[in-house]
Amino acid sequence: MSSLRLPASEDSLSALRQLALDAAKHAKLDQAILQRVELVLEEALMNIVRHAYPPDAPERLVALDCEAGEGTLRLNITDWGAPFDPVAPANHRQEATLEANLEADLEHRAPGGLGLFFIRSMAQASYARQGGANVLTLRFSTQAAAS
Amino acid sequence: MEFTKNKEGVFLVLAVTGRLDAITARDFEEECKACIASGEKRLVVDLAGLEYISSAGLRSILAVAKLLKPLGGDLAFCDLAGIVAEVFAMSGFAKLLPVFATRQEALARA
Repeated sequence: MSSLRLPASEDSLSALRQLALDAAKHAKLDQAILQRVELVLEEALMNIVRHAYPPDAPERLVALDCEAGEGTLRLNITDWGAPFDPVAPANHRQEATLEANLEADLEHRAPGGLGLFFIRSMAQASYARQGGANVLTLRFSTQAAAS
Repeated sequence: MEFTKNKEGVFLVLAVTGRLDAITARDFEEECKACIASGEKRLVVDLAGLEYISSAGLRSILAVAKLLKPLGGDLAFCDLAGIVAEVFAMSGFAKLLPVFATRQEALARA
């Protein structure tokens, strides 16, 4: 298992991405899954960078743990910010709004919501609040293409 | 991310290579805004060389498309592959904006 704990900022994205991609290659995931790993990771991390901590938080950290198996990869992303479950929509209305947005034309299309949509669609994602931390678990496998 | 610009009749073709992510989305938006500021209204973005796109990239595309619409212009895309094509399809952007298989098809419009 490989791990990194870094400041929750844009500057940390590249190192965390490299850690996950190395683990994904170790797991021998194919190229299409590798690209989904990269996308889902960026969406989850950017969500934490932008929203997890208040601007005056003394310490803003994010941790990534990667565990590679044969054709499988598990990523755990942990932050110590405000409780937030990116997997379950807050309510059904919000989800309905997102679905309507996916079909909306240019004038009515709202810019948000796609990051969470990609997390839910391209990975097997689960969430737990553990102590004072948000832990998002993302699973990928070569056999079960998540589309 | 790198840009190559070519004027093709009424269209400006912007070939983009590299990654369109949370770090580079601003560069893409600025590049397009500069083209619009210099009078271009019909942009064709060739994504053959784009390796990767995330929701931050899509947000910058949406911002540019919304900027062009009231000017009577448009923002079209061609040559999508891999994760870029997947992300366009899943997000509904492939229906929201004109997307063409090849640059020739994008330029063949009236």
